[in-house]
Amino acid sequence: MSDRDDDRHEPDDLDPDAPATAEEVAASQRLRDALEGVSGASLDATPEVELALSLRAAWDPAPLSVDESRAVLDATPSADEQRLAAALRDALPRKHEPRTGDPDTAHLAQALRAAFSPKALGEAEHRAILDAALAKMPARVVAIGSARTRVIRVAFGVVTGGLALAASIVLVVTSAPPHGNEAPLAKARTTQPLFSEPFKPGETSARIDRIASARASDFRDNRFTKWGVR
Amino acid sequence: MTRRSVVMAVFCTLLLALVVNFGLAPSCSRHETNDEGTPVDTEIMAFLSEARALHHEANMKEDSGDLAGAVSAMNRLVAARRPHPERKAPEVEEVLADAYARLAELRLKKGELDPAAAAVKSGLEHVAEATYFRGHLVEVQGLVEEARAAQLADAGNAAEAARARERAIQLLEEVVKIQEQVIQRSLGKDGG
Repeated sequence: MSDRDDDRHEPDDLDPDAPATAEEVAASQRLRDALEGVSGASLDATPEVELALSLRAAWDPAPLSVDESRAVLDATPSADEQRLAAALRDALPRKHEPRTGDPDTAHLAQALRAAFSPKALGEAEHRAILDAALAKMPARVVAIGSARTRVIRVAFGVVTGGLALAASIVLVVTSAPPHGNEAPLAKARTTQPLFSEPFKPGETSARIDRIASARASDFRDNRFTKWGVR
Repeated sequence: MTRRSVVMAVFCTLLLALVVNFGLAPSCSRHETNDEGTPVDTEIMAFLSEARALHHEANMKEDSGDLAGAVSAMNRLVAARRPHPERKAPEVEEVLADAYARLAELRLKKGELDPAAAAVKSGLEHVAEATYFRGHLVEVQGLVEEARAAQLADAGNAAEAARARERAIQLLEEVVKIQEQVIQRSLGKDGG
């Protein structure tokens, strides 16, 4: 073992007879000051100090100060507040509208509940609302509104029909093939011009040869025309 | 204005739009179908090619003495599927008439006079106007009746033979008239 290892100092926590350290002495002094009520001692109260104070208050409670007594009284509901709370508690479970004598808080609670989870109107209630609303509308206004509705319907029908007509015209015109500049296609027609004299026996295949050859030429021309080559 | 009249007004307006649409559509889309004749197209060319092939096949059969084979080829042609059945193409009708004429000639060579006459009758249904094709068919019909007259004469049936000969002469005279009409019309076109 080296000299350097011998010089190393480690505290011996397990030794009960070991002298108190400076830190332990300071903590003990703070606890003593707090228990003796030294001014400023409880400002930096540690958990140990708070525990000690609580134990002493439980064991030997001191009288309340004036401020502390007033704070307790303020936290206690008055008789009037307790009556209002009871009224609200009784009004909330009811499903119907608050009664006249119910507190304002009951009306407010009912309105909040109706907004959050409204219930369906009854038939009689619905009818009553409608009757009340219609009773306020003069008969002349109703008649004018009806006539105006008819005018709007007619105008809508005419405009819709006009739009349909215009759309159909545009569709037809734009879908028509552009054939104005297109060369005419060779049509199927009699082959008589291919022959300059009456047929002779035994020349049938020669005739079909001539017909097929002539129409093959027409067919080629038609294809070129359709392709736009010509 | 009642609701019914409003609905009727809208309905009439839409109906007017449809009517105008249908009225415009044919005039705007008139392209090929309203012109005279069907354009020479793939279907017509396919039929003409098939006809040409069967005619040449009949040539080879006929040259080799196989008249039945030649008849079979012509029967296939007249039974072939025709292009544009809804609109008869003149070429197709004339090729069919000529095929029936050749079929009649082949039957005539085989001495089958009634089938030959039947072929002529079928061929005439494809050419109503005076053309070389109709003239050729009537000519073959005259030859059939001429052959019939000879057969009847050989059989000793002089009276029927005379009537057949008379029909043959009438048919051949008709041929002359048809051909003259064709030539006259052709000359008129050339001159005009």
